[in-house]
Amino acid sequence: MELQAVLMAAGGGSRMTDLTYNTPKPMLPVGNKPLMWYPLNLLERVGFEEVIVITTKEVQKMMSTDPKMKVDVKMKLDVVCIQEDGDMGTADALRHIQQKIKTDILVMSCDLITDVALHEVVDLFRAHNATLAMLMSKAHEFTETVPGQKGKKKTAEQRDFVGVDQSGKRLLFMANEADLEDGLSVRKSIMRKHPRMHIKTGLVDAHLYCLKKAVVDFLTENKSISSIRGELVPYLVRKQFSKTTDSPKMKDDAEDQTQKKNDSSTNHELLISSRDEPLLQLAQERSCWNDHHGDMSEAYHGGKLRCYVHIMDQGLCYRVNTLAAFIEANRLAPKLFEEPAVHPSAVISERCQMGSDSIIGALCQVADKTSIKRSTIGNSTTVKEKVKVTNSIIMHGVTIEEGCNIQGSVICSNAVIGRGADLKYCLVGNGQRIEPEAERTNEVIVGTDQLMEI
Amino acid sequence: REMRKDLAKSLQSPCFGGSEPGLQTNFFSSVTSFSFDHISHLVTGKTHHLLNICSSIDTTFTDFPLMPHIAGCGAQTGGRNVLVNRHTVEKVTLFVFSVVKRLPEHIQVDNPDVLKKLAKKLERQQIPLRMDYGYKVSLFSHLHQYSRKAPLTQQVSIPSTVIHPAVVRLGLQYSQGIVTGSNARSVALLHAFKQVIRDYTTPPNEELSRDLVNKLKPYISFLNQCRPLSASMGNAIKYIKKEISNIPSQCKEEEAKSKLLNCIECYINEKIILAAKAIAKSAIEKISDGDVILIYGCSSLVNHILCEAFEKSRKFRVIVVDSRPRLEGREALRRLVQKGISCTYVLISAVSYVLPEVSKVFLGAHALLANGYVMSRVGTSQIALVAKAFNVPVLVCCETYKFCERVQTDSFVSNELDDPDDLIVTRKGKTHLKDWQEVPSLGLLNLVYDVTPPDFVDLVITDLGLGMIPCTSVPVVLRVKNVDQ
Repeated sequence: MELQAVLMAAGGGSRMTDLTYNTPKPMLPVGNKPLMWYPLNLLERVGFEEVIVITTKEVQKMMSTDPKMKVDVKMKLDVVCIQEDGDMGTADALRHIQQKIKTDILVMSCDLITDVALHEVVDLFRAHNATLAMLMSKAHEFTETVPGQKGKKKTAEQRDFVGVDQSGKRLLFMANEADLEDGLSVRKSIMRKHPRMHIKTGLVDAHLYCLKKAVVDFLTENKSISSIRGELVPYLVRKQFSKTTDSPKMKDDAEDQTQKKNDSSTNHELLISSRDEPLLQLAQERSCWNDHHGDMSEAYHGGKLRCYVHIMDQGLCYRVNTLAAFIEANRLAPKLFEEPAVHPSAVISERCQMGSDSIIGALCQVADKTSIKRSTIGNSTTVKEKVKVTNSIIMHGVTIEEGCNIQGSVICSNAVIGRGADLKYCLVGNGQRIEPEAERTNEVIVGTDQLMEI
Repeated sequence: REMRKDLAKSLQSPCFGGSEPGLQTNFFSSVTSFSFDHISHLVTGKTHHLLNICSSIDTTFTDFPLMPHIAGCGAQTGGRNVLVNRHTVEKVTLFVFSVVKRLPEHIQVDNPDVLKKLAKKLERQQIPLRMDYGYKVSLFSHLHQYSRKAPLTQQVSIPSTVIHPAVVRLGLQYSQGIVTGSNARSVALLHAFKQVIRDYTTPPNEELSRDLVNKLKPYISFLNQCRPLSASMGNAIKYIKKEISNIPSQCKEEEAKSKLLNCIECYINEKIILAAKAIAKSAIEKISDGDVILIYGCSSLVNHILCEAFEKSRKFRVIVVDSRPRLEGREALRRLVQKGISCTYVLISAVSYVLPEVSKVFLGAHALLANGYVMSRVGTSQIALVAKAFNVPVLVCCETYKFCERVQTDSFVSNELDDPDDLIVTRKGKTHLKDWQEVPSLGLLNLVYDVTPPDFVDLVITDLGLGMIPCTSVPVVLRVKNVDQ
């Protein structure tokens, strides 16, 4: 078997608590499908037959009752439950399922919506015998107004600095702004081997990694690594250029010599060679190919650990981990698939004006004289007469009474919007009731129990 | 089954009668090209006595005037002609029971029937079909032309279940050019086959000797689609298939597998590693102090020879000739300079300027054909031609496992077309050929191989026998090899 797929669906959605305090992030509806359906669909389309899903008990329960998951996902899902409140990082989760892993793995996050050609990433992993291959994408600006944001855009998040070589495929350098205290330092050994390095900051990490099995074994030995993105990936990228014990040390790296000693002792664990290593060596020696030109070293500079990245410049790639991303994804995700905009079981009256880019879920009831433009309406929602819904996301089981005007808002499941309410750029939490004739602009309306969480 | 079908076809359509007075011949042969491997029955007019004649009837390559269609059939005429003693035999009726060798499909791409057959075969084996790319120059429209940006893995499922992952990885490395060079490709192929054999389990009610060969067939089609197989790979595959079929049926699976793995190791050791050592030993005798040696491109064998010679303290310098778009000479240059050999680097356009200083030319080969022609990287025949004009000796180094029974007299009939986009280069920010597909009268041609006639080659250094043979003795080597096997 070549690759095993692992889907990480235990994340809490800490950056959009307004949406996730009642519905766990993997089951948030995007385009009327649960969020985790998208990565599973990608895996299924590409040809996977089994996926190991790491999630919480709550999500597992919801998965078994959700019709979309049962019908559309034909793969075999091996669900592993972990504690919800535990501080389990993604790497800890991999350690937890170490017994199940028999070969190289493809780790995905449940909040990834993309139409990438997955073979681009996997081909890098296969062709160069890489230890790590990951996917990144150029970040898109989110243009929609996000409910609850008070005017000015929030401060830029901590940037990621990603260094790639001239071909744009080999990953040379990865650091987060938070870890760099007084500037970006690049080791001379890297500069000598790769004199031209492109450093990019506007990239989104899709959290899709192909890892060798040796890395999983390495994780079981080193229990100090708890997050794939935060710790494991930068470690592997650094390790590409770390020296083995018997090569001469450089003067400029004097300050981290002790660290290097520790590094090199763990180096050999990652480099588990195959049984026919001398044959592979022979083939590489006889082959007249080199990945770089201009210096005296052999292909890959003789390094056995290699990390590659595929950077998408076109196409869809979203990580739905903030409210803005969620709204954007709802807008664009339905375009990925050829499904009818209106579910056949929905009851829509003829005098309703529906835009072509709106989606109506199953068992909806839309009454006369309503206007629905650029919106997503979830399952079992009732929309009464004379309602205007524009640019909004309405989740499942919502009741909207007559005469409401909803613009640019997100209404969570089972909410009730009273008659004549006027909501602009609001977020209405789960099960909330908006009193009739209310006028709210740019507000987040959630329950009192939510207010207690800090 | 194939033989019977063809024979039936050929018996219905006799081609022509004899043209020699006193000797009436009836030839029944099919119109497509073929080679005789077996002539089993010769009926003499006098006695109606069926003489059983096997392939030892002759091995000379003489022109046979009664079979013009063979000579005219282009590339694939191999094989044996019949010498008949006109004085004792009055009438000869030859029933040709031959293994009909068809023209391989990879040089019949402009024939839609052949393409349809190929598509059907690939569908049966569950291998995706790779589409050709771009406009093909009309002289070469009978060959495949693929684009590197459209790898075959697009159509293969991830994770690959039909094709063994080691084979998918290998195919990818071939099509992206990570594994290039005849020796490297063969070694990598055998390495992948070792993985396949290790992971193989005999299904119930099947025999390993038959089932494993059937398992390997789709893999070979897949690799062929990624990049057309080289002659050395073809010979390696033949060897493995023979070894697998020779496994006795009562052999246990574990034993059989370890035997096969051992065979592969031996093959690589003998034919590649030890052969390189033997060739180096013979070649070093030809290198004297003060020599100026010219090499072309990056041949692993020639590099090995030069490195060995340098270690044995011969004093010489090397001129490395390189050509676009592959620019493989840079890699050869790097390896030689790393050893400490003093080198000069020129492009092939400067070869006639540099040749007056050269004392010998060492060339590597991709394959040596049965009529003595050398098939090598495109540009080799150019170098051999210019060297001949300057009276510089040309030595070709080639292991015996690359000798093949094909016969070719030109570079058109069987070749490989590489990705035409490789010829596009950006200089000073301008890419002139970027939209070459939109210009209707422009075609980009990126040939990979060419054939050098034996008149330009002075010596072939190989690992069989004394080591140095003239180019025309290749069929003798082939015969000796076949007898050995």
